[in-house]
Amino acid sequence: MRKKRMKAVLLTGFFLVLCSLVIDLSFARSQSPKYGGTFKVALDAELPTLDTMMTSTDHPYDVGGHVFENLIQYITDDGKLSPELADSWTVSKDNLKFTFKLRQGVRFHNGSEMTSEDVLASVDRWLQYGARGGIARPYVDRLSNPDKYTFEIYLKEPYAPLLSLLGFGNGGPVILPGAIARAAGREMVAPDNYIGTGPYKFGKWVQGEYVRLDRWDKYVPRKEPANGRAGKKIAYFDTLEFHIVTEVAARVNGIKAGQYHYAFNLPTDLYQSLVKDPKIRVVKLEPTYWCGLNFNTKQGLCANQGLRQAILAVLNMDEILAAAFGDLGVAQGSIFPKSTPWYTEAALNKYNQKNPKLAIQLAQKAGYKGEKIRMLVGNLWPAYELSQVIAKQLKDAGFNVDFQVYDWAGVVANRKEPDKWEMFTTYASAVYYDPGISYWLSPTYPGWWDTPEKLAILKDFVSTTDYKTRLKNWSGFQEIFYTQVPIIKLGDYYTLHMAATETYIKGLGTSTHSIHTFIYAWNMWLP
Amino acid sequence: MTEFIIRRFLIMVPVMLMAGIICFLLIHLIPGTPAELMLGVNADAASIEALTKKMGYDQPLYIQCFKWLQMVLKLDFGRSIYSQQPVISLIAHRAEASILIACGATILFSFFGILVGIISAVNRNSWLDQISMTLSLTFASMPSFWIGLNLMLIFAATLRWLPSSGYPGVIESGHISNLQYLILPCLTIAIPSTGLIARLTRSFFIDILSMEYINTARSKGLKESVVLIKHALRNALIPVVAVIGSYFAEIVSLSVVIETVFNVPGVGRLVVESILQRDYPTLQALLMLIAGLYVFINFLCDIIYAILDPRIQYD
Repeated sequence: MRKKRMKAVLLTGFFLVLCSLVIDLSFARSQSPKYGGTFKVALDAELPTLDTMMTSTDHPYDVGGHVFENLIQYITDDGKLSPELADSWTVSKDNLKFTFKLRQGVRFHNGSEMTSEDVLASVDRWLQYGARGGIARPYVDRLSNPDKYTFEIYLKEPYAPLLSLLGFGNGGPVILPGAIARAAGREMVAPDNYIGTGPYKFGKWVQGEYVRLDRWDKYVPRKEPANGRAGKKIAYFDTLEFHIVTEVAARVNGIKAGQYHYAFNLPTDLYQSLVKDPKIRVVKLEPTYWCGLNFNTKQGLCANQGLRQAILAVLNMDEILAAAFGDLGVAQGSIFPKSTPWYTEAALNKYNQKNPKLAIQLAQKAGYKGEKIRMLVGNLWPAYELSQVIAKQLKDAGFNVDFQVYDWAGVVANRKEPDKWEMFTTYASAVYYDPGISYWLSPTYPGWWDTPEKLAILKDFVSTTDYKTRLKNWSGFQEIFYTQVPIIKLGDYYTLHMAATETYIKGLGTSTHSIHTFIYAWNMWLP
Repeated sequence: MTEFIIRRFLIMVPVMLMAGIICFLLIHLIPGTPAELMLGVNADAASIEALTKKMGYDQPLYIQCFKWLQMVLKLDFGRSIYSQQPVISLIAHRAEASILIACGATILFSFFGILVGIISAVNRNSWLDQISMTLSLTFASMPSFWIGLNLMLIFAATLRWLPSSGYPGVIESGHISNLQYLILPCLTIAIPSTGLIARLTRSFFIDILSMEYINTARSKGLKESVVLIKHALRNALIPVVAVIGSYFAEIVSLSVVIETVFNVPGVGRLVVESILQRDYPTLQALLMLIAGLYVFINFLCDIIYAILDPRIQYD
C-alpha cells in the first residue's frame, strides 16, 4: 500500500518537473528572437509621399526610414552621431572639408552596389531641392567623389550643423541610386523608384489605406551593437504594414483588439485613462515638441515689438498647457528642453509672467487702441485648444482678438500672406541636435523675423564648432528671442504613442528619450 | 412618352454642367494648395511654386475650370494628386466598401424594422408593443458615431470577436472572411434606422388595420394571417419602402462619419481625405458623382411618377 503511494508521489513529482521544463523551454523560446510575421502600425495621418528627402513631415520617415538610409544616423541612444552608410568620416582642422569613407558591398534594393557616385548624386539633389537642403546650400562650396568609396564635401565657411543635417531622415539626404536621384531632380520620386539600402524594401501603397514593406534579404547589418536607429539592424518581420487610421478611438481600440502593434500620436489628455489599462503599453516620450504663438513681425499690428511684449506679459502658461495637454505639458521657457544640450536659463524671467496689468501698460505705451488682432486657428489638436485659452486670456486682459478658425491647410495658406493675420499657434521639434537648423529661424518662415541682431548672433552660432562658445551664443540668442518676441514659447509637451504589450511584441525597447518619436521595426520580433 | 424621357434626360445636361462649375468654384474657394501640404513646413517658396506650377494650379481659375470641363466631357476626371492613380479607378476601388455597408445596413434595418413594427402593431398596447417601441425610440435617438464607438469597445477591444477597424477588401484579396470587418459599421448604421423604421411601420400598419376593407376581409372569414400578410402588409409597405429609399441617400452622408470612425476605406472617407489634402481632381470627381446620383434619382422618380400617374402632362 505504502509502496503504491510512494510510486504515485514519485510519478507526480516527475510529471511536475517535466511540466516545468516544458514551460521553461517554451518561455526561453519566446525570449529568443525569431523571424516571420507582419508588424502592423497605425499612423494618424495620410502620407504625402515616401520621398523623404523632399518633405519634412514626420510620417514619410516613419515608413521610409525602413527603406532609405543616410550617411550618418543621428537618432542614437547615446546622443552621438553614428555612421550608417558611411564607414567613418573625418573633418579637416579648418572645418571646411568633410571626408566620408563608405561601407563596401552595400546593395540597393534593385541589386546594384552603392558607391560614391550614388552618394554624390543624392546629396547634390538634396542640397538643391531637398526640404532641409536649402539651409546648408549657402555654405557648401562643392562635392566630390575621388574614388568609388570616398565622398567629400567642401565648405565655403565653417558650418557646425552640417553633420546633424546629414543624419536627418525627414527632409535630409537619404541615399538613392544616382540615376534615380538625378532623374527626379525637383520632382517627387515615383513609388516604382522607392529604392534604398535599408532592411526593408518598398512593397505596395494603397492611398489612404496602407503601405506595405517587405524584408530585403540581401541587407547586410553593421557590426556594431544596436544604438537607437544606428548599429546592427536585424529585420525579423517578413513584412511591415503601415495603416492610415485617422480616428483616435480606432487606433486605441485597434491596439486593444490586437489588430495593430503600434499606434501613433494620441491626445495627451487620454494618458490617465490609458496608463491604467493592462492590455496595452503606453509609450510616453519625454518632451518632443514645444508649442508657440507665432507673430507676424513684418506687417500689421504685431509688427510692433511693444505689443508683442505686452501679449507675452499676459499669458498664463499653466492654464494654456493644461487645456491642451492635461498633465503632460511642461511649463518651461527655455527654447530647448532640459533633456537636450541646448537648455539655457537666459531671459526666463520673461516667461509665464501672468501679469495683465503690466500688459495693458505695455500695450498702451506701444500705442494699442483696441484694434482687432487676427488670430489664425487650426481646427486640430493642440492648436485649437491652445488658441482658445490664449484668446480668452487676451480678451480678459482687454485685447480685441479676432478668432479665425480654418482647417490646417487653410492656416498654411493664409499664414504666408502678411496682410491676413497677426498671430497663429503651432508647434516645433524640441529635439534637433543642432538648434541652427530649426525651420522657424528662416527669415522666409511665416512671421518673417529678420532683425540684424538675430542674424548676427545666428551667424556666430553656426560658424563655431566649440560647444561652450556655441551654448553661450545660444543663450544670447534666447535673450533676443525674449526681447524681440517673434514667437512666444508656451511650453513643451510629451508625445504619447501606444503599443501592444510584451505578450504580443518583443524587443520594442523601453527608451523614452524624445528622439524615439520615429518608429523603427528592426531588432523586434513576434513571440 | 419616349419624347418626355428624352426631354427630361436633356434637362440633366445643363443641371450637371452648373453643378460641375459650382463644385469647382467652391473647392477652389477654400484657402490652401496641395503643394504646401505635400512639401512640409521647411520647403522653400521656390519648390512650392514649382510644384504648384507643375500641377497647373498657378493658372487663372477660369482657365483651370475650362480645362477641367473639357476633360470631364471626355469622361476623364484626371489623376489623384497624391497617389497619381486615375481618379475613376480610385473611386471604383473605394466604392466596394461603401456599397457593401449601405446594402448590408439597409437589409438589416429594413428586415428588423418592419418585423418589429408589425409585431408591435398587431399586439398594439400590449407589454411587447410597449417594450419594443421604447427600445426603438431609444435606438433612434442615439447618435450613430456613439453607437459605433461602443460597439467597437465591446465586440473588438473587450471581447475580441470582431476586428476593430479597417477593411482589407474582398474583391482584391479574394477572402470572403474579410466581410467580418463590415459587421460593426453595418450594425452602427442599422441600429438607429431600425428604430425609426419600426415606429413608422407600426403607425402605417395600425392605420391600415383600421380600414374598412380589412374588416371586410375578416368578415369574409379569412384567416387572420392571410388578412395581415396578403391584405394589410402590402398596402402598409408602400410608404415604408418610399422611406427606406430616401434613407438610402442618407446613408451616403452617414457613411462619411461611420467610415472615419471605423477607418473603412470607402467613398465617404475619401471625401474627407481629399478635402483635408486639397486633392482637387479627386474631390471634384466625388462631388460630381454625388450630384449625379441625386440628379439621376430625381430623373428616375419623375419617370416613375409619369408612368404611375397618367395625369402628368408629357409636354
